[in-house]
Amino acid sequence: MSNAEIIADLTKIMEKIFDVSDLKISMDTVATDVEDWDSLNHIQMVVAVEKHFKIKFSSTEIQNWKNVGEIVASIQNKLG
Amino acid sequence: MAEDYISVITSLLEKTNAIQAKKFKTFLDTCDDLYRKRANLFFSQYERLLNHLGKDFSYSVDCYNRMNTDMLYERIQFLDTGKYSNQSFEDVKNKIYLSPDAFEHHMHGLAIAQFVWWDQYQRFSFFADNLHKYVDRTGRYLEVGGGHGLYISEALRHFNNDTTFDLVDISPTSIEMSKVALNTNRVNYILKDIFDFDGKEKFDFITIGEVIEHVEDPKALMQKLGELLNDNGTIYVTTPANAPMIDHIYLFHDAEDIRSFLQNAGFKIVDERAVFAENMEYKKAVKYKVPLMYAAFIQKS
Repeated sequence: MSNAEIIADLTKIMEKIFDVSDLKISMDTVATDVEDWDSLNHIQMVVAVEKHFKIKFSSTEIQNWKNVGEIVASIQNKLG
Repeated sequence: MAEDYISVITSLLEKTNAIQAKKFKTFLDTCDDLYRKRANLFFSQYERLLNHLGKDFSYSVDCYNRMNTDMLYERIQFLDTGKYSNQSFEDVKNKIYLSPDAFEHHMHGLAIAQFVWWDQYQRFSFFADNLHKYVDRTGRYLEVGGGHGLYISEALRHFNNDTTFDLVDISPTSIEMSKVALNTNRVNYILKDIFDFDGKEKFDFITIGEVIEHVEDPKALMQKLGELLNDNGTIYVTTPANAPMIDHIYLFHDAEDIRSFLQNAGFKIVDERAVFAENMEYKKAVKYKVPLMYAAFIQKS
């Protein structure tokens, strides 16, 4: 999958979890850029991402995410 | 010495953890002056411990961030399996209690959480706001698992000068932490398993906060406390439901589960407070199995 395809899937997951439509995210997006990206939604998002891509993140990976780009990189890494 | 610890912690969180900073600022918007007074008092006491260890609040916030990541990871597994990852005391002992680094990080993370998490402050304010009702009938106070000394400090401020204060903990690290943070000779620090207490010793008020979820048989623990409690004595007990953490073993599913547990252990509930960790509507909190903080003043039934 390309980064753009992963971001497109991530956007759909986030829209569903955050209960918003027309969400615009990029590799540089951080949690503070998205109003509904709070601690509870973050957990739901990680669970949904794992389920969607059929992957499991380690706690170190989760800890190191600073922006959407780093989440995408973790997904790419898992998808091989 | 920092005068406004809240600003220090907020600033450190903004630099290191955007999601937690956002959550904390939303909570702070609802807080009054009493919250700030209590928080600054606790953190000034806690800073004594940090100074003793040659550390500062950036270390504590780092521990707090690490604890949150551990929790996030535990939570993801919990939502998947419906169970806590640790099922036995032996599991936790090997992973946490026998690992000084893991234990220390966790304890310092928890210190920050006392006034950064809305539910933790609810747990404390419920205690602090109601303690005056027990002043006249408390000659002997016992706290099981004192941690950073937040609760026993409050009791020291409320209860009479002739009240005796015992703090018991099974962990030498935790006892040392309490000693340095409290810095008082009014407290007897006892390194002991509560089960080794002689049942002839009787206390008028026992505080046991966030302990029973750490043991395999919380009923036996509460029954032991019942033995140590005077017939008209009171216990302040707190425990969470649906709160996966690296050192939690016993899973309560909701407030009713905890109430039934307390009643089955031989107690009646005098007063209680139950709040979800996230400020949200009840249905959504139940749907997402959001952790619930339960606190109660209980007496023998």
